[in-house]
Order: sequence, then structure tokens, then C-alpha cells
Amino acid sequence: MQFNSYSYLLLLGACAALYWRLPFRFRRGYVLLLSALFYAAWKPSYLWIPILLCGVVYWCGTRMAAAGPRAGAYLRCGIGFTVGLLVFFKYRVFLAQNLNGLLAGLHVPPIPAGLWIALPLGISFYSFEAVSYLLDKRQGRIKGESLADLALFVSFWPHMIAGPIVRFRELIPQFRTEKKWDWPMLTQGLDRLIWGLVQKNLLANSLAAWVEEGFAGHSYAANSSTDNWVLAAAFGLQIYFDFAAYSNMAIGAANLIGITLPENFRTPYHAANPAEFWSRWHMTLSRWIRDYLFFPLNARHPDAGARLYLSLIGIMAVVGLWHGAGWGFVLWGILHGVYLTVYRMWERWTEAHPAPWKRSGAVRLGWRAATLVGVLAAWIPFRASSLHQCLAMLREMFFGFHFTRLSFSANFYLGTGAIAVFCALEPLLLAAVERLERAAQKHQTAWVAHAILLRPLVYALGLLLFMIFDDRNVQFIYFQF
Amino acid sequence: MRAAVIGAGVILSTALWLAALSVGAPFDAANGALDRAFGGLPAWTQVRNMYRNPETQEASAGEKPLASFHRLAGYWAHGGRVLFIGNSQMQMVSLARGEAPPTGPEKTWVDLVTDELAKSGSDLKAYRLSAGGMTYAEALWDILYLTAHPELKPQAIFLQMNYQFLWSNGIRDGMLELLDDPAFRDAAAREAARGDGYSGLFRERLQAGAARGATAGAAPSTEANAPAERLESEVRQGLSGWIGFRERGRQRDDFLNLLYRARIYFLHLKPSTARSISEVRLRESQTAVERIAEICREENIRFVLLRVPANPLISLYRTPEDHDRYMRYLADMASRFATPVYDFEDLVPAQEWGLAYNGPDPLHMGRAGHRLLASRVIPIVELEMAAKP
Repeated sequence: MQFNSYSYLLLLGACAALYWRLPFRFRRGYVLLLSALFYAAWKPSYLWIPILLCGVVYWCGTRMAAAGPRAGAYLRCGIGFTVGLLVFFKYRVFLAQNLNGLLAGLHVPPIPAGLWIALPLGISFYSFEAVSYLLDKRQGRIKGESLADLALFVSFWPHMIAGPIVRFRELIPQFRTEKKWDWPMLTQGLDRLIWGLVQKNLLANSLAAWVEEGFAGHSYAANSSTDNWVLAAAFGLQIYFDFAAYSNMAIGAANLIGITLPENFRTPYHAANPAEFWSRWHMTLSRWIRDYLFFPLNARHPDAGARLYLSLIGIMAVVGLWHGAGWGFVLWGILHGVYLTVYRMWERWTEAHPAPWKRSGAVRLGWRAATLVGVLAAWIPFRASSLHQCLAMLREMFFGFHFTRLSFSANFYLGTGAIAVFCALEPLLLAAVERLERAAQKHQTAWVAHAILLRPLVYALGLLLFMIFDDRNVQFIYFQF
Repeated sequence: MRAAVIGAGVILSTALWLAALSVGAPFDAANGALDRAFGGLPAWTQVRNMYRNPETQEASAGEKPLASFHRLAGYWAHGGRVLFIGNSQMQMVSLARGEAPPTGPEKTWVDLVTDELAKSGSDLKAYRLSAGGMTYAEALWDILYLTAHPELKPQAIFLQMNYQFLWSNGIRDGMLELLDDPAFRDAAAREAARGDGYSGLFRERLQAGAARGATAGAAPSTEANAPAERLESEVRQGLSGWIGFRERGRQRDDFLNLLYRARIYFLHLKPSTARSISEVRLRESQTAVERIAEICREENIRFVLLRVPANPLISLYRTPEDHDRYMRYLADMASRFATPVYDFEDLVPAQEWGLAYNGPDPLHMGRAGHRLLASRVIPIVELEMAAKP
């Protein structure tokens, strides 16, 4: 069920209203049931996958707690099962194709990749959450949980399909604390939900058709340097607004039942350097990678230069592969790994040899521009349908120097430019809205009038834009991951 | 209690605002305000009330042509079958300065030709196959369908030629429904395998058709059968009774028009912004036209190129080389395929071209322009139909 569908929005309102009518002791069970129904609404026959995953992971977790010195074996068993499930569904065909490519060179008959099986929705996300549960359990950070708690953690519908990637200890305790409904929960939820609808339907989907045309397999070779740069920006904006929309709608839906989910985006294209980009883009994934991969792998050698850098590039390649079974995603990850490495090297050099110019405004501006250029260029392998296409488009961008030829309609360049300006002004707009809210909050009557008149007008305008730009056939990009 | 009242107030107020915005036309009002502020022309210069006749016109404007083609078989059951293919110039009237506001549905030059042929007692039956932003690949796509069905095969095709037509590329999703027909699917697959400029596009469209489950015998996609999708269809069905939901297409047009006006009034970027065409896209269009000429030769269909009028106030060519190259292409078509090319590029004077927003319309003629062109085309139709293919 898509978040930006009429059926979901109507059901969400009804289900949230019923949630608050239920006695507290039934609420967790009710949310678990809703989550199961939400997942089954996409493909009922795949409901067994998260159920099996929860069963196995819970068993490993409880055995791990009681196993003493053999706890590590249960941890490996649980993680192995989770990763194995992910590999089977997501990477089976990719691995078989690449292996067959190698075998063909050795004149060995190809191995069958197996039947085509639909990728279970959200498996990349709930697999990571299952792994985080096991690792936190091993560290003793989770105690006294039931199987239902784990199932609720993994399957809580707002975040199950495409995040935010939450932690057990930041989600489940919220369900254990009784809350009373208050109207700010409603407005907080609607703020995020409706803004998400506008981001998805108006901004992301408007860019989708142009991006589709620009990356079309039969005509990309004709794109000029300007075309490709604008396309990279268009796709960067599309994926940002698409994914931020999903995250906003997830956070908003959770808010409606009094649950707070972590933020996932903080104006990422305003990042001052590559490291800051990853603290603003898909923040819950960055946090997961940092805490469960990067720190554990580098804990023993925190200052080892080359080893640290290789580990950084390797981890980012895995992050790329997590997004999709394709070499383009891996290349995207490696590029980001290289950006992070270069920036880390620069920082270390600056620390070792301090000089005023290294902290100057021009250098900081240079890093900001380089980060933006690097991030945009990296979207090309992410979106291109083949490595050949990716290399051809990147070559044209950096070495083509065809800047005056424009291949697409003027609306493409203007539309992308307008949305880019909006993206650039986003922090200012958000700050202005916050200031307005704070001013209204100072006076009780003004605050209620604002809540009942002005805010609903903005909601209605958002809903109208959602309705008129409603396209049932465009799903969220991150659903495929 | 207070929380519940405020919460209910938020919901109720949102619902009321939404109802007001949906039923009213806020973007249309904003368009009017912008026109007044910037001295824009009255909205009626862009004629909305166009003459509709599903018997003589492809009614979906390229979005879902199949139903129109089924109907066409009846219209063409008797008489000479004449097909006009073109873009929005064939289906829109943009009134010129001094022309009176419309009092009824406006007809384009093809409609006038159709009327005139019927009035004169001719047995020639003209049909208009046009769509806004139509591409030559789409024209080929449609012709493949028509020639795959004897009852739809035209005797003459008059293809609109202008430089602006060559800009557009692609085949719209709505046209994929033709792939449900096995004969057409085979024909499209053969074109995809030819290795011509448009073949890559055909391959991609065939894949897109297969993905949407359009090919006959393919099982509907899993997602379409999912309970969530069925529920969504039910909800949409229920909502379709509400005027706000039904009218959202109009609101969308108004919103896009608002952006378009902003582009013209604030940025002074006219739709005529001429541009060169990238090699791949140019080749895609030109090879599609050449293939249409070949098919006509193979199928004994009279093929005629009509170089339609261009607004003398606006050049569609970005450089003189673009113009020269286009002329060379037309000359090449005429010599390679013995195709008659009728040149009306300079036929319609500047004052008979339509007005759009606060300036000349680059593509659409006024009422008198359409009449003038129709009067010149009618004898050509009779002449060409009398000639052997």
C-alpha cells in the first residue's frame, strides 16, 4: 500500500483514531496487527518472510543471552541467517550472472540463477534492523523483550518498507509508556504527512518523467554536457524529495499515534563537505553503518591511515550494494568512499600542518562546491542502466565541453532550476515557518486560530496539490531497495 | 475535551478548505490575476471549445487511440480513405488580433477540408490523426497499426512537416495499448529489429508494453492484483462521485498554466525558444519519416508531405544551418521516394497567426489562417487522390 494513495490516507486516519480509543494494554497488539495487514496488502504470500526472520532472530537473541561463552556463535548464526535471506532474495541473480560471466571465460557451463522471485518489500531495511537488534542484544543494551516486541520493532508499518532505520531501544520503550492524546500530536503528524505528499507528488514525480527521458537507453548518447549536469541535478532532487517524502510520511504517521521516529534528512545538498553530507542524507542509515560496521571494524586501529581509508571505501561500496544488486550502485558507493577518504586526508593534513588559509572562507566554499559537484556526479552511476551508459555520461560531463547545446524542452531546464532554487531556500523557509509558529504560540488565542484556520488552509492546499498531481503509477524509488 | 474540540476543528476546517479549493478554481483565478497584471491577452484567444467529431478525428489526442481506430473502420467502410497526420497545429486554433471571440466550436484546417469534401459530394473521407507534441515515431507507430488492418489501411497519407515537429521524440505510454494487438506487436517488433534510428525507441516501448502486461496472453502484474491495489481502485471509484476529485485534471491544467504564465511574464521566456536538435533525436525522427515513406510505397499508399505554415514573426530554427539542413532533408525525401512536397511555410501572413498570452503564438494559426490553408489543401487532396500511388 503506497503512502501517497487515497486508501492508505483514509485508513490511516481511521486506524489512528481507533488507536486512541483502545485501552493501553491492547495498543501494541493492535499496531502489530495493523503492520501485518499493511505488509500483507502488498503480497499476502510474503508475510512469512518477516515472521520467519523475527522467529529465528528472536531465538538466536534469547539463546545468545543464555549461552555465555558460546553467545558469539548464536550472534553469527542470527546475522548469517538474516544476511543469507537478504542475499537469496536480492542478490541471487546478480551473483549468478557475475559468476557465470567468470565461468564463461573458463568454458564452464553456467549455473542457473533460479526462478525469478519478486523482491520482498522492505527486506533491506528490516534485515538491517534485525541485525542491529542482535548486535545490541549481544552488547547487553536490550533486555526483557518478548517476541511480540521484536516483531513490532521490525514490522512497525511506518518504517518497515523504507525506513527510517530505527533501533529497538528508541522505538519499543515508546510503546511501553502510556500517552494521552493531545491535538499537537495531530498537527505534528499532519504537518509531516502532508508535506511528504507534496514533496512526492508535486516535486519528485514532476522530475520523474524528465529524468526518465534523459536517461533513456536509446538516446542518452546525444546528451550534451549541460544536459547531463542538469539531469544529474534533476535525479538528485528527485531522489531526495522522493525519499524525504517517504520519511516525512513515515514520521507523520507515527506521530499520529504518539510515536517519534528519528529524522532521516536535514537539507543534505547544503552539506559543507562529504562527511557532513552523510550526516544529513539518509541519517539513520549513516548511523547504522557508523555504529554497526565502521566503529567495530576500525576500533582496534582508529588511526591506521591506509587501512582506515580502505575500510571506508569498502564499507561505502557495501552501502552502495545494499541499495541494489548492480555495479552502478557499487560504483556510487565507492565514489562516496573516495570523497570521504579525500576529505579525511585533508582534515588530517590540516591538523598536522595548520595554516590560516586552510580554514579560510574560500577553501570552505571550495569544499562545499566540490561536495555538491561530487554528489551530483555520483548520481549518474546510481541511475544509469549500464556501466557503459554511466561512463559515457560522466565523460560528457567532465570532458565533453558541450555547454551550449540543449536537447530537451525548456520546461525541463526551467523546472529543474525552479525545484533546485526551492531546495536551496528550504532551510530559510523552514526557519520562517518555525518563527511564525513560535510567534503564534506566545498568544493562546492566536495559536488556536492559527491551528484551526491558517494551518488547515495550508493542509488543504497541500492536499489539493497531492490530488491534482496524483499519479498512481509512480512508486517510491526506495521501494525497490 | 479542549484537545478533542481543537483536533476536530483542525480536521473539519481542513475538509472545508479542501472542498472550497477543489470546487473553486484558485489557480484559474491566479491565472486571470496574472493576465490582468501583465496585460495578457484575453483567455479566449486560446480557444478551448474546439470542434469534436469522433468519426473524423482521433478523439483521445494520442493518449488512447485504440477506441478511435475501432470507430474509424466504420467511417472508412466506403469511400476514399485520406489520412492527415500532425501535431497540435492540426487541432488547435489560437485567435489572431481582430478576430471575434468564439461563438461556437472552432474548426481547424483539417476539419474544414473534411467538411468541404463532404459538402462537394466527393467520396473522399478525410480523417485527422493528431496529438499535441506528436512525434514522427508516434506517426509511424500509428501507421503500422493502420496498415496491419486492411479495414483501416488509408489510400493517402498527408504528413505535416515542420521543424518543430522534429523536436519531439518518444512514444507516449497511452499508445502502448496498441501492443495488445498481435499483428501490430509483430510489426512493431520487426521495426525494433531493423536497426534504424527509431528502432531503439521501439525496443524500449516494446519492453515497456511487456512490463505493463499489455501484450496479449500476459498475466496481469502481481502488483495490480495485490489487495492494496484492488482497495485503491475501489476507493478511487468511490471518490469519482465527488466533483473535486473529478475536476482535478482541470485544476492540474490551471496550475501548469500558472507556471507557464510565470515563465512568460516573469522570465520572458517564450515557447518559441528555438533550439537545435541533438543528432540521435533528429535521426530518430527523420528515419521514422523515411520508414513511413517506405511503408507507403510497399502498401501502395499515396504519401504526401505538407510543409505547413510557420509564423513569420518567430523563427523555429536556432541557426541558419538548422534551416539549410532541414531543406536538404526535404529535398532528399522528395528525390529518394518521389514524394510530393507542398510548401505552405510562407502562406499565412503574420496578422493571421494567433496570439498567446502576451505575444504571437509560434505554432497555432488564427481562424482566417486555418481557412486559408484549408482552401489550398482541398485541390491538392483531390489531385493526389486522382494520381496513382
